Amino acid sequence: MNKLWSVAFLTFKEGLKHRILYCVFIVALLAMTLSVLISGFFMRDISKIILDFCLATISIGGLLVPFFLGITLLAGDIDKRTVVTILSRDISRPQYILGKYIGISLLTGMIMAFFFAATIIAIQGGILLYGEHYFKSYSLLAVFSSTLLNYFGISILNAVVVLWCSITTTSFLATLLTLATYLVGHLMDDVVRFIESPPPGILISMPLQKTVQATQYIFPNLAAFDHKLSAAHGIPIPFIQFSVLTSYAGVYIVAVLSLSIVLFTRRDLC
Amino acid sequence: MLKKFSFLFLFCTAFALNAVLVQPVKEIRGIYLQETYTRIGTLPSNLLQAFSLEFQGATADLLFLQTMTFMGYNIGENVLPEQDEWQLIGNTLDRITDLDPRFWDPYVFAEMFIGWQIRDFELVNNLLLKASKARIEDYRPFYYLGFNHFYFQKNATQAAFFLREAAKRPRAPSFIKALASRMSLYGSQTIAGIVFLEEMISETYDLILKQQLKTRLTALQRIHELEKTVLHYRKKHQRLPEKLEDLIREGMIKNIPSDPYGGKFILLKNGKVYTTSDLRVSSEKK
Repeated sequence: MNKLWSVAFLTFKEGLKHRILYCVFIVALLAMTLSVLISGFFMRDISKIILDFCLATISIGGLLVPFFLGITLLAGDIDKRTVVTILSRDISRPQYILGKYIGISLLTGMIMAFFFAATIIAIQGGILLYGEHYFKSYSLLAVFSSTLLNYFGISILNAVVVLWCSITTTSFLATLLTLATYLVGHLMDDVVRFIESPPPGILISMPLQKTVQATQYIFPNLAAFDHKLSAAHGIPIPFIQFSVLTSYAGVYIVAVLSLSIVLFTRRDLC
Repeated sequence: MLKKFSFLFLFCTAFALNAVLVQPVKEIRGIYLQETYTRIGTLPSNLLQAFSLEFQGATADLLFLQTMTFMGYNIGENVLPEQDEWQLIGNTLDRITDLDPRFWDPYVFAEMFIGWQIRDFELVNNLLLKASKARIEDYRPFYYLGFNHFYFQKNATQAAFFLREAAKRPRAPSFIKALASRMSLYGSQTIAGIVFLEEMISETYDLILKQQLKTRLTALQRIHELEKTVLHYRKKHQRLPEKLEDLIREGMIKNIPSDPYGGKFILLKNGKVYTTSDLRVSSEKK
C-alpha cells in the first residue's frame, strides 16, 4: 500500500513541477476576475454570468490534467522508459497504474479545489461590486455539488487516459483517443436519444441503431456529470441523482482501471 | 549592443504602428460584426448545443453579449436594425434560450426591444411562454405576457388569464392580483405601463438599458399626469377639453410637457392622451 502511495505522491509532485500549470493558474484567475467585470455588461443575471464563466474555468482547469499533464506523466514514463526503472524497485504493475491514477486524480482535485475557492471569491467580489440583490439565486450547495460532479466526470476521463496510455505506444495517440472519448462522452447521450426516438419521417437502420445503443455501454456518459447550468441558476442536484451519478463514476473508474491493469500487466515494456 | 538596440527600436516602432492601427481594425470589425452576428442566428439549435459541449451556459452568455454589442453598435450609430435583422436578433435570442432556457436577460431584452420597439408580439410571447415553462418558480414571464396582451394587444381577457397565472407563482407581488381584476378598465392602461416599467427598472443593472427604461417611464408618467388633469377638467366642466391647450387656459397646467421621444402629446376624443412618437425611438433606419 505504501508503494502505491509513493507512486501517487511522486506523480502528484511531478505534475506540480510543470510550468503549464502555473500559466493556467494565472490565466484562470484572470478569466475569473474578468467574469466579475464582464457580468456588469448584462442586465440582471449577474450571478449566473459569473458562475457560468467560473464553472467553465473550473472545468477547463480540471480537463487540463487528462489532456496534457496526465498523458505527459503516464505516456512520458513509457516513452522515456522511466517506467522500467520504477518497476525494477519492487513496485508491481497494478501498484504503478493505481498509483499513477491516484496521483493525477489528486492533481485534478487540487486544481479544481483552487479554482472552486477562486469562484467563491469571485462571487463575493461580485456581491461587493453589484450588491446582494443580483445574487439572490446563488447557492453554495449547488455550486459545490456541480463542481464535485464535474470532478467525478474528469476522474472518469483520467481513468480513460490511464487505459489509453496502457495500450498505446505514443502520447500523441493517447491524446487523440482521450479527446475522442471526451467528445463521444459528451455527445453520445444526445445521439442515443435521437436514435431512440427519431423525428417523424426519418428512418434509421437497425444495425446503426444497435451500434449506437451499444456505444452507451462502452463509453462514459460524461454529459450526465455536467450540472453547471442548474448550479449557475442556484438549483442543486437532488441527493438521489447525485448518489446514482457518484456510483456510476465509481463503477466505471473501477472497470476501466481493472482493464488497464490487465492490459498493462501483459504489455512488453522493453 | 547595436543589435540589441535595433531590436528595441523595432519593437517600439511596431508597437507604435500597432497603436495607430487599433482604430482602423476596430472599424473593419464593426463592418463585419453584423455579418458574424447573422451567421450565428442561422445556426440550427441542436447543432449549437452539440458544439457547446459542456459549456452551454458560457456559450449562451457570450452569444447574448454579442447580441447586446450588435444592438449597442446600432444605438451608437443612431440607426435601427432592418426588419430582417430584427428577425435575426429574435432567432439568436431563441438559440440563446435553447442553450439556457432559464437565462432571464434574453427574455427581458426581447420584451424591451422586439416588444416595445417593433411590436412583434408573436416572437416575444413565444419566448416568454418558453420562459414560463423553464422558470416555474418565477412570476415574471406570465406577468410580462399579461402586460403585453393588455397594453399592446388590447386583449384584456387573455391578459387577465396570464396575470392570474403570474399571481399563482411563489413570491408574486400582491399588486398583480389587483391588476388582473382591473384589466377590463381601459383607464388603468397607463398605470399598468408605469408599474411594469418601475418593476423592470428596479431589477435592471445595465446603466444604458436602465436609462432607456427611465426615459420610457418619464413619458408614461407625463401621459398619466395629463390624463389625470383631463379627468379633473371633466369633473369641473362636465365635458372633455377639446385639446390639451385648454388645460393651460384653465390654469390647470403651466405648459404641455415634452415627449422624451420627440413626439407631441395629443388629446384623443375619449379623454386619453396619445403621443405622435408612439413611445418609440425615432432614429433613422439604415
